[in-house]
Amino acid sequence: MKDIMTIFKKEVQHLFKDKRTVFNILVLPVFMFILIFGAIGMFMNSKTEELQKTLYRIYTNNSEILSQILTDSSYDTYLFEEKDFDIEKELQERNIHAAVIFNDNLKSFDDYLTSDSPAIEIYSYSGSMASDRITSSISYLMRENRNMHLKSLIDENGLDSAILDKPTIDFHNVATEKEKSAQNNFLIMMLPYLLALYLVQASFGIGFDTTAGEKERQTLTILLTNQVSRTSIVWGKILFIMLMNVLSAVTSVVGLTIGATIMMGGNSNILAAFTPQTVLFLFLIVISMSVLIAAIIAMIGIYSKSVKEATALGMPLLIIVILVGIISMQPEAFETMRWLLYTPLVNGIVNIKELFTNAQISYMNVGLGVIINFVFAGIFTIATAKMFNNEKYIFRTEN
Amino acid sequence: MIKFNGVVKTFKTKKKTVNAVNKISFSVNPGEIFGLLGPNGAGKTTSLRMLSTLLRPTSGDINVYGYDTVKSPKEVRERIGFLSSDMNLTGNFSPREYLKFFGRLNHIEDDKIDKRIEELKDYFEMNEFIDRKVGGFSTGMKQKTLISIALIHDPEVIIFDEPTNGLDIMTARQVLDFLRNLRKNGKTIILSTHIMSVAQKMCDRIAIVHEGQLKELDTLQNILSKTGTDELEDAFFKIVEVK
Repeated sequence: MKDIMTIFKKEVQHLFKDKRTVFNILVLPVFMFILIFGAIGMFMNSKTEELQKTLYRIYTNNSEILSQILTDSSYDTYLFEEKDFDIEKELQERNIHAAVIFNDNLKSFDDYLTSDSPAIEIYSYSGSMASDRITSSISYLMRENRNMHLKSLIDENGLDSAILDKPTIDFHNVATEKEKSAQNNFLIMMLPYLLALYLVQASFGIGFDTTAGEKERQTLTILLTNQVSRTSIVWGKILFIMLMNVLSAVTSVVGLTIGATIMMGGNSNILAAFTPQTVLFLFLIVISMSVLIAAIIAMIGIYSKSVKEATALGMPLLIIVILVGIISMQPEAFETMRWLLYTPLVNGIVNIKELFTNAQISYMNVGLGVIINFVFAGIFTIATAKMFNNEKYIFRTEN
Repeated sequence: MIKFNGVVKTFKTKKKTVNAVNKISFSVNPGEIFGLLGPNGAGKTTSLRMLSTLLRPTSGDINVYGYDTVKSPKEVRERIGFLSSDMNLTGNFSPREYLKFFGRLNHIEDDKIDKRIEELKDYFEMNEFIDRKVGGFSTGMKQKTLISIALIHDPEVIIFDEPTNGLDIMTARQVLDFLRNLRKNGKTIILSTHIMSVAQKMCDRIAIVHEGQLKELDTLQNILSKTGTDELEDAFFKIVEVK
């Protein structure tokens, strides 16, 4: 154990002496997410403000009807009529925001309200947010005007217009507060994917440097000719890679949460999904995944001739994690893929997702997943230690 | 005492089988500088890697102060210091930090490590850079650091694979002087080199290896007189061609 800690401490000390790497792993993700989400938030806010201030230019063949329809509109509009007007071209060139064409039998606003078959064509251009917004608003106001008129007719004929609002439907969602918080929060939906991704990604730089990098620099032979056992070297390095994986994943998720909270103006509500029980299980799952990833990375690193080769060999691992992670963002993604619960590593993604989206935590699934990950981590560690004792792998170098 | 007894090392690839070392037998006495001389690919590095427990002989055995390299690798590693010119130190550790780390790996107490670091620092004139990051070091400074690492646990046997490769003339001389000094203190030194002048100046006995086989083993004087030459280089070519 003392030797394992000596190797582990040396690796940690060595890394923390490199300010640039520490910044890239622990500080940059936080700033990056704050910057990205902050910029998105700023863009969205300024766009909303701009859309609110825009004077919407709308072409129509009947300004009288349209101006009445838009009486209650919250947008400033400029309506105009013109002969031989090329609607499509003008919309595409963004000279106008919308076009509204009433059919010929609609001459006045009363015609619009009372006609049995009022036909209207609305032209929009989906490449423009302003066009989308004003056309949605026009179509909503058109229906509202007709509904109001219909209600007044019903009332005038001695009936209760409230009949149009029947039946009264009350929705009752039986999901727990924790589930609701998770289901409505894109951050929670992304959490399994992001955690798994960052757990693997951090290893690619640091994990391969401390294994394949040492082989490449031939410094591994100094370690191997010392009195420390091969297994201690493997465990020291695996513990180090694991610590870096967890630190990197935690800082990235913290950065993402802060960034998203800023973007949503402080309303991300992510914390509601974290009950003490959830946090405890999340910790267990993440630790089991980290150990397994570290063991796989150490094995690939020891096998590889160089950091370059290790990165290429590690790519399938990253692809699997990305693939399962993306699937996890879909609701009920793993309902038909229960076998993933018995698959090392990816069971962690499934369990993290279900931890937040299911009403009850399945102790058996979490326990089984954690045990499977630890067992496979043990197997990979023993295999890596054996590789350390096997000259075929140790001297599989570029030189 | 180091003993190689009929050592064979075979490397198998999909296409062919290579006998890197072929039935080599010799012994090295305490307090002796023993040189393995030969061109690249002769089997020198493989021999030293087997001696330092990194490789296992395919057949035969190697014994270091009574311990077999395969049966008792830990005991062998306690008694050896290994250095290869291919090693490259990089990063943010200083020589002092590296020495402390390797001292601890050799299970030496911290106060003894500090004392040993002072000795090595003074001997190799490392005062100026003992606490600087090795990342920006010259080849000579790195080599001094690596030699110090190999010697931190004061081993009885020092194994140097091409010890002067890449060193400037001043540092190379310093390293060779240090090896002579170690011999005075009763250390057993076994080095490999392809540089004739190093073998000529340094070694008490020279083993000439070629294509995995031991072609000649004797003192410099005896090799020269046997071959009727004045220079080791001439003797080397004569031995390799004749045998």
